[in-house]
Amino acid sequence: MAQRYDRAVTIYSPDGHLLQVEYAQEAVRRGSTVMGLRTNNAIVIGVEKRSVGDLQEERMVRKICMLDDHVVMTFSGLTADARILVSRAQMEAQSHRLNFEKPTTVEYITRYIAQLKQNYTQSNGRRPFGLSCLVGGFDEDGTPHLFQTDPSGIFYEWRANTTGRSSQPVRDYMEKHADEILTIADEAAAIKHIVRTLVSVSSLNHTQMEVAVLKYRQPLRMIDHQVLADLERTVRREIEDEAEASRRPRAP
Amino acid sequence: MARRYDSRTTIFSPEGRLYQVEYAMEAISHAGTCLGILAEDGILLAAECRSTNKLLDSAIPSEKIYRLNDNMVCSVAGITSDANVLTSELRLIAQRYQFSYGEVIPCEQLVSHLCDIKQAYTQYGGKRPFGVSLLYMGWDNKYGYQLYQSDPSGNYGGWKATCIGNNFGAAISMLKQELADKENVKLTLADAKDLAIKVLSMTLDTTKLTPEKVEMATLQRVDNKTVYSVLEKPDVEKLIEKYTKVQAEAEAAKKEKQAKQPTK
Repeated sequence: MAQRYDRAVTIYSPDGHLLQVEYAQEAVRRGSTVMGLRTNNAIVIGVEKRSVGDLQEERMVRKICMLDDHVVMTFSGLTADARILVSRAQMEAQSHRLNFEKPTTVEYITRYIAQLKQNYTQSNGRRPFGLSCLVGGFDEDGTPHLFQTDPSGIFYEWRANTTGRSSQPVRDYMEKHADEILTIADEAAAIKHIVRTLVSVSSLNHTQMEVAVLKYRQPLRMIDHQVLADLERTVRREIEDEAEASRRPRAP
Repeated sequence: MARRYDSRTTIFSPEGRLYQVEYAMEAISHAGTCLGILAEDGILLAAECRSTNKLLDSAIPSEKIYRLNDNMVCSVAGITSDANVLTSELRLIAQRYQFSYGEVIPCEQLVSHLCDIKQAYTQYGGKRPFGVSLLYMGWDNKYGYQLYQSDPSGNYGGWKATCIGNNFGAAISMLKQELADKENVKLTLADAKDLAIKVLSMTLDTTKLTPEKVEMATLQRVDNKTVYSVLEKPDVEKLIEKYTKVQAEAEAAKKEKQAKQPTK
């Protein structure tokens, strides 16, 4: 059935699927987990970092990249595709500055990325980008935005979202704690939520994650690994305590 | 099952994989081994030469290691004809940059530019991906000596020591082991040469390493100039002799130790 309708990207299968796009989404589901959170004055990004080998240069492993001074992006999916997309978006951001004498809005640059992705699902002889991106940043008036795009070229704005391998449990976790997450007051709390999600859902330790904070008119700040290690410890204790508390009432 | 998604241009399989790219990488893991080691005072590339025909003209100094520009050298593993395309592309990129900006291209920029091209072949054009992995060694004034590796998918990474081609997994874990032992000691280029010979002779399929089978090149900064040199065969021979001697001594010491131990 599928065999004739997934060779070229541009055509529908009889039941109305664009199979290549769906397979590209599968590539995203195999990528490392990333998550983003928007508070009222900051964008906090957390990513699962595959362990860096001893022989590898630490500086080369980048999952969090800047599209412009005020826009940060992270992704899950094919890294090589991401590199291309990032440099296209960076180019567009600069070209926008040149043409309009002001930085792009976050929505504009997201729309550009989404449009590019959509193009690759409709034109001939190409495959879609196997990539889902979280784009966060600030407009000129200082309002934060967080967007997500997927291989089909859809984009949505979110308060918090995730993509990649364990995106489903992470999303479940975030939905469960939606009340807390939506009322986060400061970035410290947001960072803790990110660490807690990554620790409890995909059981990562602090060496396997990277957390970054972007604030209005400030450079991107990577959270120190020592801080992450401390947070991991508190979070693990909290989780244990909660488990303990839920066990106790049942005891005779 | 796999057949349907691996015969034409690179497209996604239902599991979201790119078989053509994976097969290209597979091809490389059968190719001749190349390894690179970053030292404090320089950097080296070593490669296994498979065609050791006596009638080959030895005037052509190296077969698998290519000079790219003043500051960069690369070695290749995979389909040699593809590699020729890529190395000439690399040289062009480097010269174009030099022409436009009047200075030597930064190492990472050259690598990432080539990787953009490699990635393009995995996404459109109706052609197969390049079946080549490369190791690049270079120097620039921002990061000093650098070692990069790139593969057919268009990914690249920076390394302190790495290996591509046949048996690369074993070689990398050996390098890791050896470098972990020497963690606090600064690795000199001379040490790196010994290490390269050691790793190559342990991982190559051949029983004994001969100078004909190994190619080695180094990059160093001397008086603010980058000096590139390909090791002469006698030098390689000396290195191999040194290694076999050390090895034999270690072996003898081991036997002695065993002999001393009381047999049960």
